[in-house]
Amino acid sequence: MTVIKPELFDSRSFIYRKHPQAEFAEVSGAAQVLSYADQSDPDTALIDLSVRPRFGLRGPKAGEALIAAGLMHPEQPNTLTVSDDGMMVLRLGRTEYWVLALPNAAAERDLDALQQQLSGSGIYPVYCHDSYTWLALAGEHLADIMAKVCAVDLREDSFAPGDLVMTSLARVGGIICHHPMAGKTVYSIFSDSASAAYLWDALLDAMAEFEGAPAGQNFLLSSQ
Amino acid sequence: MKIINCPLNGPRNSSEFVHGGELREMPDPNNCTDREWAEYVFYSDNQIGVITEWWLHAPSGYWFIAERHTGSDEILRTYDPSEIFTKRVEFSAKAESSQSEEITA
Repeated sequence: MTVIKPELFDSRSFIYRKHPQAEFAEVSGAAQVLSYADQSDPDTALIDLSVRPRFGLRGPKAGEALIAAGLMHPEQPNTLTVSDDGMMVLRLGRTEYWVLALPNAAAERDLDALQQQLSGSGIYPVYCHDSYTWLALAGEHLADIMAKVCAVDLREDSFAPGDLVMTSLARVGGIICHHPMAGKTVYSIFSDSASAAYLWDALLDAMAEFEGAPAGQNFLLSSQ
Repeated sequence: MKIINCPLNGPRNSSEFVHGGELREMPDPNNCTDREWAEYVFYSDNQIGVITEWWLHAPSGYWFIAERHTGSDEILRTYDPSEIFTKRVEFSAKAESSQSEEITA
């Protein structure tokens, strides 16, 4: 059996060189970190989900098309929905949406087919896979960690599950989404792929005093 | 730090915003003089008082309109451009005269 490594695929995470001691699995034609070798689960983890499938759409007909396709439609801009089968929908403006497959998404969910279905007049594609990095910050002390790099109040009482903010974190523009998984608080962070390596290091630095460490997507699937 | 109230994202540090210049009515590009077009594209009035401006919330790529007093630098109101722009602005190419076509040919 071949050991799965990022170098086997043409499509790779922007920061795959930062995962030398990791165990990978193939996810939509790329290598996704499952876990790091010889590591027990940290209190707070930073997980690279950049290779996971996602796409965006915008336009006056985009909202109706999402509902017609059976996806959960976020009622307000700057909110998100998560369905039982692991599909997350972000509403980033009045008529802009991203559709993402979370690590617990049903394997048979074909996002390419879904994207084909969500096209037509009044709908325009938004590219968010190869241009954006997807990092997930999960576990404890998330608001304390984010307070070190971000000016927006991300404590639970003003940033509830299902909220998202578009702001600057560690001086880089980004989207921060609050969605619990497996009983853990998770902040998914999307930022320009060009700053992925910097943001990865900056967040790990901010997490250090809270015993934070990098982890794989298994961290998001195992309940505590 | 100054706080600007984004109509989409709420109050945010001014460092997240980019100034987009004064908002004014566009002259008809096919019929205005070069001077009028240059006034529209390049020159600003630079008057003291309340002016209407474009601003960009950079992390979300969202353009909106703000009314700002140039003396006190106070932002009085911010709102979505749909309050002013209710329909898409279309541009039609200016029909070139047959004489100029002969010259370019």
